[in-house]
Formats: sequence, structure tokens, C-alpha cells
Amino acid sequence: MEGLNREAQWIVMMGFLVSLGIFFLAVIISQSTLVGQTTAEGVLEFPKNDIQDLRHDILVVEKFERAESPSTQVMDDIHQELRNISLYQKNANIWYNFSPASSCSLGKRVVNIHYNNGVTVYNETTEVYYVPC
Amino acid sequence: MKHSGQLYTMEGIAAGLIMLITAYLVLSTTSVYTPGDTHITDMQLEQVGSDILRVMDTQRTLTGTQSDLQTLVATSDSSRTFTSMFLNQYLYNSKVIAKETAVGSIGIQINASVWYQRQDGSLWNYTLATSPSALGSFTGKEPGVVVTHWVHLETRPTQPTSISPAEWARMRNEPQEVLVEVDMWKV
Repeated sequence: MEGLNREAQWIVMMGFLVSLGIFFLAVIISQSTLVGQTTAEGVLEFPKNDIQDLRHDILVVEKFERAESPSTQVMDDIHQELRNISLYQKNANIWYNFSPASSCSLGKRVVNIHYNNGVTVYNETTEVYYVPC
Repeated sequence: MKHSGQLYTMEGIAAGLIMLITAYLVLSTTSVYTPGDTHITDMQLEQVGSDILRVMDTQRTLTGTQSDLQTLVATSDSSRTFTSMFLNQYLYNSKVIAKETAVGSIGIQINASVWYQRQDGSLWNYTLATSPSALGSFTGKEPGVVVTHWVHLETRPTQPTSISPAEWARMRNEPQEVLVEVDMWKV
């Protein structure tokens, strides 16, 4: 290959490097869609709104029990109602309980919430602090 | 015979192969997004609806005893306040929808119902509110979404217009939790 101008070897090498760079960028782009997809599916499958809503209402029920001290029957009915409607309308099995509250002193109450919709199993322990009446 | 052309040929073939592989990789990425995944776009409407219900169930003042939503459910809402509050006060004021209404006349229709447990333990529901033109516009451009919210009631609500006195008598007249369910769809 005498008579060949060897200056052009730089151009060939740079061209090769640039094309390799583009190739790896393309690999990264092709992966990014997949990553976005799996992330979005993970977010979609987790029933965030249902759980937040359930916790909100259970804390309302807790406050109601502490403030108005209704009979055990009323609290059992509310528990049964929450479980039934949740099972039939939200396809979720739920259960909750409160630790006993002292009637009129500064205190802490532990609220356990269990949630299971067949895909997501979620357990939560929330603490409620209250001041004397 | 000149051999210098060999180098250009080799480079051309190499570059062509690299471009082909790159084009294949780029084109194959689009096939990941299948039609079954289009419900990702519904998340936005669902989140907005869920947030609206949560805001409506927040007391306006610290010392208040009832939220707007509790009042609306408890008083059976004969003056359609739920619809105007949900749609006009909150939904159309949100930035998400404002952006869309600028593009075209996109309206959101709602149909709200309340699920409760009767005295005998069975479940029943009544219609709390429908948007003014909901009847006759049940078809939409996109799949509808359902958002729900639990509401605590001190007694059963005053008799809603959509249920009979006999059915109203079957409601439990004691503190209870009811599920407000709102169907939302674009027309």
C-alpha cells in the first residue's frame, strides 16, 4: 500500500470512535424506555390513594371513638361496614385496631392498619398523640 | 491499480453496519409501549379527582366540626352543590385541566354515588350527584376513571332524592362510614 496517504488514518479512527459513541448512546436510549415503563407500572400497581384514604378515615374513626366514646356495638358495626364495603367495592381486605385510650389524660394511641388487595400487602402502625380534654 | 479505494470501502461497510444496528436499536424501542399501557395517561385524571375529594373532605377551619363533603353527603345535597363544587370550584381551576381546555372543548363528566351498609348487613348505593349533561353523554374519548373517598357520618343522611322512603328506612341510623365513589370521564 505504498503511495497511500497515512494522514487519513486519523480520520478513520475518529470516525470509528464517534460511531461507537453513537452506538452506546443508542443502547442507553433503548434502555431508558424500559426503565420508565417498569417504574410507571410499579407506581400504577401500588394503591397509594386507596391506602392514604383508608388511613385518613381510620384516624377519623379513632378520633370519633376517643371524643364521643360510643358503645362497642357501634365501633364493631363501623369496622364491619368498612370491611364489607372495602371488600366489595375496592377489592381489598382490610383490618384495623386501636390500642386502648385513657379517657382524660395526655396520651399516645397506636393504630394498626392492615391492607391486602391480592397484589399489594400493606401493614402500617401509626401513633396518635392527644392532649387532655 | 490503486489500492487506496479499499480503505474507503472498508470504512463505508463498517459505518453502514453501525448505522443499521443503531437504527434497529432505536426503532425497536418504540415497540415497548404497547396499547395496553395507555392507562398510564389516566393516572393524571385519577390523581386530580382523588385530590379533589380529599380537599373537599378537609375542614375549612381548625375548629370546624364537619368538612364540606361530610355536609354534602349528610344533607343529601338537593341543590347540586357537589357537582358545582367538584367541577367548577376545583377541577376546572386546576392547572392540569386548564391546559387541556385551552386546546379544545374538553369537558369532564362525573357521576357520584354513595355506598353504604343497610341494617341487615347488605350493601346498597344511591346517586349523590351527576354532572348536568351526564345523561346522554356516557361515551367518552378515553376510558373513565373511578375515584373513591371514605366519609364518616354521625347519623344516616337526610333522605336523598334518588332513593325511596322504604330504602331510606333500611339505612342504619347511627355513626357510620360510607364510600363516595365518583366516576369521571372525558367527553
